[in-house]
Amino acid sequence: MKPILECRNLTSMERAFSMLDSLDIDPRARLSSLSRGTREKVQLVLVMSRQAGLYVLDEPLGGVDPAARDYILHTILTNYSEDASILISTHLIADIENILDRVLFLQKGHLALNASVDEIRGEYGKSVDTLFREVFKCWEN
Amino acid sequence: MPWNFDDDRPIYLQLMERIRHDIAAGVYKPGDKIPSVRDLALDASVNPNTMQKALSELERAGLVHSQRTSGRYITDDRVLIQKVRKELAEEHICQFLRQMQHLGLSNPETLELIEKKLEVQNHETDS
Repeated sequence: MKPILECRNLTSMERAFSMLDSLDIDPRARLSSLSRGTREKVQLVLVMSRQAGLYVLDEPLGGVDPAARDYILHTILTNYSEDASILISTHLIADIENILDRVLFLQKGHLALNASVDEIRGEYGKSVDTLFREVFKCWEN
Repeated sequence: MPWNFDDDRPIYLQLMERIRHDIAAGVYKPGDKIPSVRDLALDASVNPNTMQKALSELERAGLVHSQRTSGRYITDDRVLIQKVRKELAEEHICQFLRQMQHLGLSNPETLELIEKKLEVQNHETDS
């Protein structure tokens, strides 16, 4: 068993270092010395470099510039495995809806919506982002 | 060319449109091997499942076919491709005419403008 585990870890490590390299992040840097955006990227690397059946990303795009957001989405798509699921919580809907299968809206602790992106666009004739804005509108007309 | 999507329509439909257009326009030649679902999805920045759906629909339409283990290929049927080209051209024309009518132009006026424009283009290519 051990050799196989080590092999897997090596792959994850290699991936992690490769991702840090393309993000131009020094692996020896102290986390506290990094900007917020860079710390977010490091957290993403720690998650997406692993081989897992379920990835859980909590606001992976927050506090990150548009170019980095593109990189994060790209990373999610390149690490996509048909065997794995990715659960993402986000408020940056427009950025991410093209890569989602399914969307859940949570409102006051309840499930306000559970549908596929295609269903939403097909039935409502609007993007998930637009629908969200309507469902969660903060003021009355 | 970057893949641009409208907000309000299913992505898979738009992917189909784009690929259909690329086939009709000759970006993909008849019989060409197309990239894997993953690579196409990455290029378009979409969910691979969505790209898969689009490709399955295109297979149903006969524009694309799978070869057991070697991947997907554009159809060899040039007649079908020509038909698609005409259909797409007609869609563009319909949209264009709607826009001209919206501007308040009559069909004869629109036709005149088109002919004038074509004349100018012909002169430019001649000289």
